[in-house]
Amino acid sequence: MLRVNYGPRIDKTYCNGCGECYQNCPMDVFGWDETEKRPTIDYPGECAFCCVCEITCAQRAVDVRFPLHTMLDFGIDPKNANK
Amino acid sequence: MSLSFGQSADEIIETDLLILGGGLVGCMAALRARQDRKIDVAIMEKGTIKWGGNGIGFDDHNIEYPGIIEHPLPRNFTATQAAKGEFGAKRFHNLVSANLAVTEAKNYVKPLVVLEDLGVKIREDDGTVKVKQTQKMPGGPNWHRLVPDANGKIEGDKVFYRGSDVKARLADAVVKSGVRVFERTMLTSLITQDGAVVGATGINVRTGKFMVFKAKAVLVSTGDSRRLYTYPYAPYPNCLFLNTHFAANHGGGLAAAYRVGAKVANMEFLQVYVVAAGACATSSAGAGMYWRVQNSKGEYLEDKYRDFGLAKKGGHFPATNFFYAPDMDHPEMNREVITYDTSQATDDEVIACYFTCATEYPRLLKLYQLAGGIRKPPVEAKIFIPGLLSGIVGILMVNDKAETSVKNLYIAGSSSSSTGSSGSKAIVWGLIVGDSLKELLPDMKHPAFGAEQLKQIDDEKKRVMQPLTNPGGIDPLELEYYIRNINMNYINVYKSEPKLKHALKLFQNAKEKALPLLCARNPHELMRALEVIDILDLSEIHARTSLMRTESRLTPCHYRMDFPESDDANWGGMILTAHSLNGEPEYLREKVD
Repeated sequence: MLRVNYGPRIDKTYCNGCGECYQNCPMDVFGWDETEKRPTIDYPGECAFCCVCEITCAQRAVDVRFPLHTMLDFGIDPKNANK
Repeated sequence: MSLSFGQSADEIIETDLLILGGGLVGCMAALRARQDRKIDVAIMEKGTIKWGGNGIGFDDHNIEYPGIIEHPLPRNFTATQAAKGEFGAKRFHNLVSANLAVTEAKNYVKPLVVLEDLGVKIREDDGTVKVKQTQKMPGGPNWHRLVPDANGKIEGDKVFYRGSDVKARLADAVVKSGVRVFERTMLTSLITQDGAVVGATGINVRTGKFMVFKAKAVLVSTGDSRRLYTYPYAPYPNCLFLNTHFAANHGGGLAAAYRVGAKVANMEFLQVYVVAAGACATSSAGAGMYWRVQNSKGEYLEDKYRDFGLAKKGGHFPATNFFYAPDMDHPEMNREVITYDTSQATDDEVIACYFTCATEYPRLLKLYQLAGGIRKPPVEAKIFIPGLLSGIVGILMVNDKAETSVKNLYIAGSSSSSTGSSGSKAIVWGLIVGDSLKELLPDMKHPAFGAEQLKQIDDEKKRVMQPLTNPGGIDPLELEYYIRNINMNYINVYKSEPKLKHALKLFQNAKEKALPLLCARNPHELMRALEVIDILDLSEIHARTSLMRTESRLTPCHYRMDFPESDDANWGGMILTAHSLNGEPEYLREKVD
């Protein structure tokens, strides 16, 4: 399976399972784990980087990571890209 | 006759007005049609109405030509030109209707009143309306950049309001008005009866529920076609979804309308943009809208090529024209590295950039934040094709009631061939069509489905569900990548007959050999499978019309290497339309009004 290293990431320490990211994602990147009552990231390769998940997460548990080419071409040092 | 819809429909919804797509057009139209609460309205939306569509962040926080707010007519056109609609039509080389442009201009101010009522901050704190500054290229189109005129005065002809919450407020108002909203539901087909549209089918992309909608009228507002080309500087699959516009818009409304006989027009025309490398964004983050682009020698392209042909007669994005200047055979971009430099941005420019970022996709603010702010080292500017030329390419709007060539089927916004596209235009046309249908619908009868409609529904369900029966088949995204690479490699900006013919062969081959093997493991993947079927059909029309238009027009939007000049004698004011007739494509050469 192709490994995708970009797209939304969820910090489970902060996620309270409100489901806003799952409800709002325009590209339907997220899934939902019924057992854990927590969002999952099922299709990170389809992320369009709108960052709606990130701005609608009241817990600030979601961070959208940009792909490498975006960081390097737009002048972002990859080591500063993580929260 | 009582009909049960066979075993096909998991849910049946009857409504007066079915709106396909809950973007700016769909929400505004729904709100207006529901004004007096007499009409039942349903919206089918593939994502959510709060965050769906190009208006997700609404960077088009302006009204074009709103000189009419302060002046009776747009500033840079004469009264005679304005009355003829030339300000709209000429901008697009007479590929769109001048009459529609007049209708649009007459309605520009109305949505502002509606939005203000919804609580959108249109006015400044002192109650005045702020206008956006634009500079006009001599004889050319608008140049969206903050530059004072020769007298140091900054005048504007675009209302510059705080539009970041437009979509959210519209969506809330739509729900409050009692519109029935079916989110995560993708349009799959239109249902017809005696040549008129009487409903649609859709599938919930999370539950797999197959839905049937019966309606007196259907409005297509599914947006533009953003999935025909790729962002070639990114790896797969990022190259499929990184776009300047809303990547969920794959052209589903266009494809569905085409299949029931609605004319789609101008499908040969590309949208050719200049974007900031990496960000794949125009507007504040991109080159060419606010920032001046320069080559490695420090020459500003707008100064270097101001008097060259393309800058005056080419496509309607000025920065793009400079990349292909001085002419298509010797484009600056082929021998130069072109950048924009924000390190010396003025305070006004920084403020304007942040303002625009705040009303754009949230990603832009984050990108600038990570990059250290607006004033940063130069970024390369690149050519990118976000899709077909939205608002010019699309379902043909045949009159100012937003009707299409098929009865009871209406069209507005970026999926229409009407007057061009922007968030402003979308809201204007949403208002026009909503107001119009509010008056028309009470006198229209609800359709009664017969055996023919049931057959359509049964057949459609079989088609839709077929990829679920192909375990281990072809991955939809792999096929999408293949199709879009055909567009990239054989159509693109530099078109020629042999390559276009070859593209058609490749599409046909993919249609015969790959489509039947499409595979989906769940409703989400089924959505991608159904999308690629539409993408393939639209790509085929794109190639065919590109081949048929034996001239170049709006270069580089349609440039034929073998017919490099515009041929006004044969093609002036002529458009190519395509529609499906008994399942077979039919192409027509028609005169635009």
